[in-house]
Amino acid sequence: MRAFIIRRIGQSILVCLGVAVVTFLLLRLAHDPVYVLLPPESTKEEIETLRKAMGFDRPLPVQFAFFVGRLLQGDFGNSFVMAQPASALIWERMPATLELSFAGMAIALAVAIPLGVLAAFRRNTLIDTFCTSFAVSGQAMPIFWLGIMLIIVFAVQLKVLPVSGSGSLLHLVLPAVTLALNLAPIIMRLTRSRMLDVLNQDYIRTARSKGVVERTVLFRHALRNAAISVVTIIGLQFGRLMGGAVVTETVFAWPGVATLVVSSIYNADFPVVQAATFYLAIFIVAANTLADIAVAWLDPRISRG
Amino acid sequence: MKRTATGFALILAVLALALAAWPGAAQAAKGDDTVVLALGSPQPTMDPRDHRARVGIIKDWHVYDPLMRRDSRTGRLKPGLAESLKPLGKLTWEVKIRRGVKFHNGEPANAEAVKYTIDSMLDLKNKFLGRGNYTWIKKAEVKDPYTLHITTKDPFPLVGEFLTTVLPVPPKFAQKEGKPGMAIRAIGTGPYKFVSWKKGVSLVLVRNDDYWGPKPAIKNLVIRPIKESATQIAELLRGGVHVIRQVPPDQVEFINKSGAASVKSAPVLRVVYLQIDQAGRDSRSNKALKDVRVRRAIAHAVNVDGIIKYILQGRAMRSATSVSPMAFGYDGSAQAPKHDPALAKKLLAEAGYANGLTLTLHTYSGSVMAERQVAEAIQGDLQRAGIEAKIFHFDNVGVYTKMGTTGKRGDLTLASWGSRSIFDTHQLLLPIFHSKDPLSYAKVPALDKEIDAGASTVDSEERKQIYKRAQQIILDQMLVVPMYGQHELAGINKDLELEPAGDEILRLYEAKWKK
Repeated sequence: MRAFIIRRIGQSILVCLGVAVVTFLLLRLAHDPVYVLLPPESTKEEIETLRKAMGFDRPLPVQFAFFVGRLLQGDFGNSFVMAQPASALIWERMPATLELSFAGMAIALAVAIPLGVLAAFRRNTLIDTFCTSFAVSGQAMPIFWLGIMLIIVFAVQLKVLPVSGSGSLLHLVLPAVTLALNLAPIIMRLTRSRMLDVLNQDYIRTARSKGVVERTVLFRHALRNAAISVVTIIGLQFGRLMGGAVVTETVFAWPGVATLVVSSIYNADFPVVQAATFYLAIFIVAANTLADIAVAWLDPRISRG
Repeated sequence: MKRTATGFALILAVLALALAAWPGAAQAAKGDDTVVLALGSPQPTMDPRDHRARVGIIKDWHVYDPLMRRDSRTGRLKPGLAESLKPLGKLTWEVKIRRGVKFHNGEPANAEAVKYTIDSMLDLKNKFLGRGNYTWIKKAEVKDPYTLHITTKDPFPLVGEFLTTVLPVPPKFAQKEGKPGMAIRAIGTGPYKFVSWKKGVSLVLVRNDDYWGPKPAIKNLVIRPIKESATQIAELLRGGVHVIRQVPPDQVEFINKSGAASVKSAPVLRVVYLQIDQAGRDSRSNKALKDVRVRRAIAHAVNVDGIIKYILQGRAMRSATSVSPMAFGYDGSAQAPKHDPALAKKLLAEAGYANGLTLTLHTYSGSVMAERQVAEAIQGDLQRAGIEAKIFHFDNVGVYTKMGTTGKRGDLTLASWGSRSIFDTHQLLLPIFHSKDPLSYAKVPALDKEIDAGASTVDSEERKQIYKRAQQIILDQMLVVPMYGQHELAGINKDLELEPAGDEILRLYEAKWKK
């Protein structure tokens, strides 16, 4: 088990470094920051002066060497737009993003797993149809549209929840629900299908025939086995969670990393985009690694290879 | 087997607890003399010297004091922190600073402070992004505590205009705190004082009760970044936000009918025009554009009045020459090319293109209001005259500006120009029409001469004549299709009295609650 964990963590570190390099190159292919930092009305002199001052007149390999050198010290440089260290700006926003992501994931799990189990247990009944249609419609709704609809209904018409912003638990409700509705369908459908597989196996029939209570069969015998693939999917869903957070944060003006990243991309604020991508990559990779380790713990066969 | 179910229950319980325990900060109270402004992008640094962002300039005019301010109704210059401005000879200007004004931290706002601000800006080591607004200054000298002499590099007619971009900062604080400190706190002499700034959440300001000028009627001002226009409108209707900018034209009626808010518009300096690659700067451009008859055909084909009426719902100001009617030097007697598809066809045939012509039409998001619809309308008009236009749309203005300066814009460009909020014809003619400027796609030596003359002449009457001749050349040569000046569309809460301004700087310090 220990060797397995060490190997997975080693791979994760390589992935994070790869992400840093790719981000560096992609940003420079896509943008010339001086044209974004200065308004279109700027003169040629202004543009060239700024290019020199920022060091963008140096060859790309030189810029890359500087970037890597600083990266190894955990320094992403100062934001062009806010004149503050990029890392500090990201960490300032991280709690809000984590708050939203965990709330979204918690609601998604709280809805999806019971519904998935229920749908499998009551397969081909009205309940199953209801759960499955919930999943399909949840998957079909674009997260952006869903967010706006929730705002219109609950904030503008019913006036029970705030439209946007942060500061109280009430502010968290709409964005977290939006994110959860985006995540829940896939988790629910997977739980349902895995449960169906497991419920058809011999050991379940054995358990039932020796008189084990149905609840125990469902949650102790079946769910534990079904959980293995569900946990893997939850780990993988962290990527989707972050992508969903970008849209959700933008719609709800939620002060997280995602809104910062979006505005930084528009502003060609390289240091911030680089730092944010790097840290988010660490989070996603860490979530996946944890999921792998959790699966190995649930199913000891995996770590023994 | 027991571990699974308990494990899940445990995870959920921990998440739920973490969620419940999260500190819920007090919600901003409403109805307590607080006006909330939503802006589409987050605030850059608080240092007025180190950004060129519109949302930052709006904040600057509330916390800092420009040396010259502009009357939001008439558009004319009026004294700001400077009490008066007068020329002493060709290159030197005397600036009298208002007496007894203090920065919000108590430092005196005198001639020394202004000189410090200018010097720090000109010092290349500081890498300030706003430096471009100061490069006309050769030096600033303190004559007495409230008198400053500013010497220009060349005779410069726009000193007063450019002093609206000089916003003095407190020297001691700036030196002690450096860039990082100035970036997170705003200390000026303006009508509002900095209280707190939580990035991505809100910038909170409070009325400066010691302000030298008229004090704001509303005590608290909160500026929130909300990127999404639909969210801004929802907040406006709900009352969580009182003022929003850049309302999409197709949402105006919806807001007006809501009963919660209404849209007010004001003509602004920004003009929209269809640029033609007359100089053939882009090697891929169609050579037909070198023929003035073809350029005239394009101008007569486009129904500019129709675009204003149907797409912008009348919220635009027709320009006959592509110069903003609000700018000094606009030729009010000039005649815009008439919409005449038959004439357009005739001109094309004369030029040898009776069988039609294919051109590219570039545009980009960010500054031309409803740019996709306007571009498509132009495309339709051109098609009726026998010109096939292919539209290329760009989302990123930075990428697009670079294409412009490197000569890759192609045949036609639906573009706009804000003239740096300087209300003078020169600010449009130089960059868009002078053959030596990187964004210009025109090459007419006679026009270059007029533009150069306008820049070095200080006498107003003489300059007017120069610009009249320049605009006539633009029309004779049809270097662009002149279109219109845009409006600023602001959504304003029904209980609030506020007028949008012609320089796109909302002045909340002039706002008041309706009785």
